[in-house]
Amino acid sequence: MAFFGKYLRLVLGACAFLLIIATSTPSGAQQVNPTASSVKEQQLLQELNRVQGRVSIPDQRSGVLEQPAGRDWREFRNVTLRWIGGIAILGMLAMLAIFYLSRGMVRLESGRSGRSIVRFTAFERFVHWMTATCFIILAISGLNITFGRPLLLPLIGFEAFSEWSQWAKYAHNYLSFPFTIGVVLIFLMWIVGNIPNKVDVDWLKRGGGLVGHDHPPAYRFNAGQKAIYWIVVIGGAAVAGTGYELMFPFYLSGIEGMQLAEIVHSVVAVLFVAAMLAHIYIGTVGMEGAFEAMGSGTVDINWAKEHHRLWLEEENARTGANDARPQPAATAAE
Amino acid sequence: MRGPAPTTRARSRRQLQQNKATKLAFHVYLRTGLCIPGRRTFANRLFQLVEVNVMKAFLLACIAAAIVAALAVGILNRVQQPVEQAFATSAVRL
Amino acid sequence: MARMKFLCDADRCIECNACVTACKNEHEVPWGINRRRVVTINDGKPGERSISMACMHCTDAPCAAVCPVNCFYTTADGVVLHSKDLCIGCGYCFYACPFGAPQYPKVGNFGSRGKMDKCTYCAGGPEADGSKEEYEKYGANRLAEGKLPLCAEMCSTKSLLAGDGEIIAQIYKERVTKRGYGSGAWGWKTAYRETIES
Repeated sequence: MAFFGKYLRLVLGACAFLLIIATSTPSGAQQVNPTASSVKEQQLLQELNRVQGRVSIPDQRSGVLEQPAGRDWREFRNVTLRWIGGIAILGMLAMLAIFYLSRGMVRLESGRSGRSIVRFTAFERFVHWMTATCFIILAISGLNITFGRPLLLPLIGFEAFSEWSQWAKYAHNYLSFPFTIGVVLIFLMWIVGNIPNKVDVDWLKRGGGLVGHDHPPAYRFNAGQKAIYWIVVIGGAAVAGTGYELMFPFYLSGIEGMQLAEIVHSVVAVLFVAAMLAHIYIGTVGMEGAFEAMGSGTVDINWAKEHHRLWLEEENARTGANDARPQPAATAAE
Repeated sequence: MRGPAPTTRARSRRQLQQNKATKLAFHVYLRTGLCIPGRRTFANRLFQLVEVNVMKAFLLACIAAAIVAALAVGILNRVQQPVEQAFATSAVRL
Repeated sequence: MARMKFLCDADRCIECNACVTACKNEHEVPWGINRRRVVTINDGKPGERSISMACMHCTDAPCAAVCPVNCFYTTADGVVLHSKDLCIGCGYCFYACPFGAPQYPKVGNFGSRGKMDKCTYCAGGPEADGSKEEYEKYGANRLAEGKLPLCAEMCSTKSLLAGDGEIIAQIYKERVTKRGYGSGAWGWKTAYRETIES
């Protein structure tokens, strides 16, 4: 009898044990989701447009897990910027070509007088040429970053293009310093003569003499030159500022800031290039007697009379002479 | 400091040769047959421009730009660190 | 043809950093350069998540698109690699990359940022497979030996999966079904423009 009781307890115990095991097997309805309160990727992207966390790496920038804004920036840089640059630069070149073919070089109507007057001092010319030379190299190396791959790479091959781009990048980075110094000096040197006034309004109303044979009066700098001045100063400040931000990556801003800096830098730069093409045109091919102002520093009196009459009168009043100081060599040769 | 006025009539072939910097270029120029002294050709006018003050201000400007750029190289390379130094602490080098 | 991808199961990652250590060791990655990293979101709070991230080898890689010298190339397996010889160190690939994969040996951009370095899916670079030059520049080439990336091989919880995209997506889906939850494949929508329905 006792033996039967023990046996019965054993069987009951075993059944109970098996029952516990059977019911403890997880079934779908009883599952727990331990990460139910965790963040989801799409939720973070929608709220913050980035996913960021903590890293144990000393470079804390690696804490950004995902920033899809990079794809928007890629779209801008590859597509939008190339359109803006292409239209601005090619459009300007086309306009200049059409203007030259229709109007030709703006000639001195009264011819050269043989007498000249100083227009720019040696220091002014030095600053201008330093800024201008740097600008040319900066423009070419900068345009190479945007347009080099589709236009130049297929022509010269990968190795040559990389080598050229590497040196272009060095030139771009380091010539930015003399360029910035030049822009600051230009700003200080010529601020006095570049404040807009009523004469500029009249000059603009008469189209600056671009069409026909009008010669609206102007002081030392006409409205067109003042526009160039302010484009150089403001545009130069913009490209320099964003350029240094790009050269010191992440010193001032996070990745969105760097992308924005690149956008501003490139857009201002291509528009700057387009404006300078016009400036270069009018200073060389576009107008007789203009280049020597920045070349030798002196201009012909007739040129000054036709294009900057008020400035000539000011200079004459200042020196107290009726005519400008004649060049000894010129009178001797005649 | 003003140079001589750029008038074609005052120039002769000998005067064009005086500037050492343009001597070689001048010989090339002679060979091209563009040089017609005394005539108001575009090539003549260009040559006068090149010979006079443009050279000085422009050359000085290029040299100054190169010097400033070289200074920038020196200074900035000293300021900047390779990442193994920039992102290392006394506790962590990863 | 296999299309290689990475998948980090954010619900399994325990932030042990074995993947980071494996990668650093296998390729002798210098200090300061982090090809793979583990990011922890909401650290210490309920719902903390860790994800291991390196280059995702995107479809239509934005890094390749913005490179001014076109130094990237995509292999037949879908692995995005680049040539350090052509790289000019401009840093554009970092601005375009959604995942911050490109790494540079120098902090600034003055002399040069140096040649860009990134996860190669253990597939080396343009040099000959397994050569000394390839190892010095890009690290080991496991793919050429028929092996998968070491980070995924070493993952202690098998949260980081690497291999053919279809296969690892399938593994992940089965996991999610079995355990009943899954936060999705992080980064897949941005990198491959597809999600895994779980």
